[in-house]
Amino acid sequence: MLPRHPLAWLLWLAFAFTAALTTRNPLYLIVVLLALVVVYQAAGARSATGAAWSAFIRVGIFFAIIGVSFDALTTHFGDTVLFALPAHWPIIGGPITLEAIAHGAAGVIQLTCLLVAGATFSLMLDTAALLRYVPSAFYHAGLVLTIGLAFIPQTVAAFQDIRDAQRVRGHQFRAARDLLPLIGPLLTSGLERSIQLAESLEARGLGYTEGPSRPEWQPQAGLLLGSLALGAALFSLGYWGRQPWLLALGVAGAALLVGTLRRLAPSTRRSRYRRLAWAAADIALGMASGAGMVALLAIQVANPLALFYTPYPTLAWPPFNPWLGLVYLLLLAPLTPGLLHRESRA
Amino acid sequence: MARWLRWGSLTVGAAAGIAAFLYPFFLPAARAASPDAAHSGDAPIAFFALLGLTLIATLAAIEARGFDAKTVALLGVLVAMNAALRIVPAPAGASGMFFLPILAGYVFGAEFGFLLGTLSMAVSGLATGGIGPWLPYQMWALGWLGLTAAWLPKFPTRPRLEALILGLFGGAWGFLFGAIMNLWFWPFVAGDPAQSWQAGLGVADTVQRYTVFYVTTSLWWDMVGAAANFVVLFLFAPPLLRVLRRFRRRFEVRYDHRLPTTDHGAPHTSSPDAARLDRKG
Repeated sequence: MLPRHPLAWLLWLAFAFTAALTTRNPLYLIVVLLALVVVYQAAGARSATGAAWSAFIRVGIFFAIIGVSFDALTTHFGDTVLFALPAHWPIIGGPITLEAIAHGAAGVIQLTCLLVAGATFSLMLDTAALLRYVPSAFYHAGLVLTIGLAFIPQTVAAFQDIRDAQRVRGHQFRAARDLLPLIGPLLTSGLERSIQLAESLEARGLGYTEGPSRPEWQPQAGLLLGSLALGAALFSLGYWGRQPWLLALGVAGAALLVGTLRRLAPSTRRSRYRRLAWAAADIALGMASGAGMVALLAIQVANPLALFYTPYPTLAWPPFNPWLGLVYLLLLAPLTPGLLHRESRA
Repeated sequence: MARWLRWGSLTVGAAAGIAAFLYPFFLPAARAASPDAAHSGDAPIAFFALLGLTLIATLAAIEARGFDAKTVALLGVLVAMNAALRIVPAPAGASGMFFLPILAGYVFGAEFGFLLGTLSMAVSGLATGGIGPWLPYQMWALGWLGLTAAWLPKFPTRPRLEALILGLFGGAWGFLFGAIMNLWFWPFVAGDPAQSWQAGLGVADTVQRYTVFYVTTSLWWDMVGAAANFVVLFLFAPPLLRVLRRFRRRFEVRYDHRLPTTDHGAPHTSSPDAARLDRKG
């Protein structure tokens, strides 16, 4: 059984993104990708939701490869020339180099890491549990973002279903105009889904507020004045430096913003059946992810060259530090043996 | 008053975005003259503070607005759809992410268009790994696109005219989006003096140099995006607007328990939409 606490998985996601975004060394990126794929498989890649995310990942990789090919054709830099296109061809004319292709390939691995990490996080994410941790003042915004993330695979699946249905009916996609039978039903089905979703949200009491309703102008005025004061103070700091009156203006604006947000918070009552507890597995995952992230950031600050790699100007074998490789393997923390033991006991 | 204040909150959020775009230009000449100094000095601190402020202002505007379940659901689903459209293949500067915020802003209003643009860019960044220093700028730029679409004149009875207006608007934003997005790094680019910004330059000189930079680096790329926006909106706007307007009417239907009842106990309907639904049974 994998950990379930959303904050533990948020830490893991942050670690995965940090690992993928702080290096272009293909060897490290491959280690990261392998670890992520193993966790993704364990998270339920074969489930129905997992299948939708897998389709999204495949589509993403496909377009990343197209993008990389475009980069390889347009970046005429590097010593190892594979072949040359006529110089008078616009944009793509010139030498095509091995270095540009290697740089692009590292980009594909990097993007794949991000996609697999995002898919794993979405598979393991308990949306309702995560929403509990969104500050009350931002509850609706968090809900919109969560719905947005959760509905991406459904949108992709709906797109594929509609495309297949239109093909069965003999529709052929030859010109831009032929896309309408695809886009129209996609939009309609999405809007229908939103109505169903709205009904279920209302049935669960979304929008219910307790206590006397406040005039809407009060929070709006607080937000407006607070934002204006804080924004003006921040913008002016560059001109006049840390003047006491600017700092006072900034503090006053921030206080007004925070106060308004706190007043907004209790108007929506949030009930919970039981508190989400941190199990040993969740603590282990959170600690491992936090340690890995701190280690990578410390290395990035102390010795940025340890993570740096570029194939330009001449392609060379990238360096590999085994200790650093072990740090990346902390991404496998969700699969620690203790967790499997816990599952067998259960 | 609340309406004006709501607009004020969003305007401050948008203004903070503009300020973050233009901040490097306003740094003291001594710091701005050296790109490294600009990056390592106050600029990043003020930049991130402005980012946070914009995010707070935008998100708080949603909360203070008190969106109901229908709006939350509609916004969430359209955000997902627009984020998924980002991965649809398109050449050069073309992207599937433009037309939905334009149409949604046009039909559902400036606030909705702004939120759809900013939030869908955030979600697509999270889903596709497009996270970086450029993401907040993309969020603002797409938000402004959705916001300004609501300002266009409406001609519901003349669909072809609406399609033409929206197509031209989308085409113009194809160039504008690229021009705006260049601004986040252009002040820090060291290169040909005729195309680079230097501290102390006047507004006219800055605009002239930026125009040269834009024409030589981005114009052809954005032209593809502008053409794609025009074609997609000109071809598809009428049927998609019909769909969006039909759903807007459905979303506007509300049950009002204070309505007087007829002799048979059924509530009177007070709006044309409700009456239409009532007739349909």
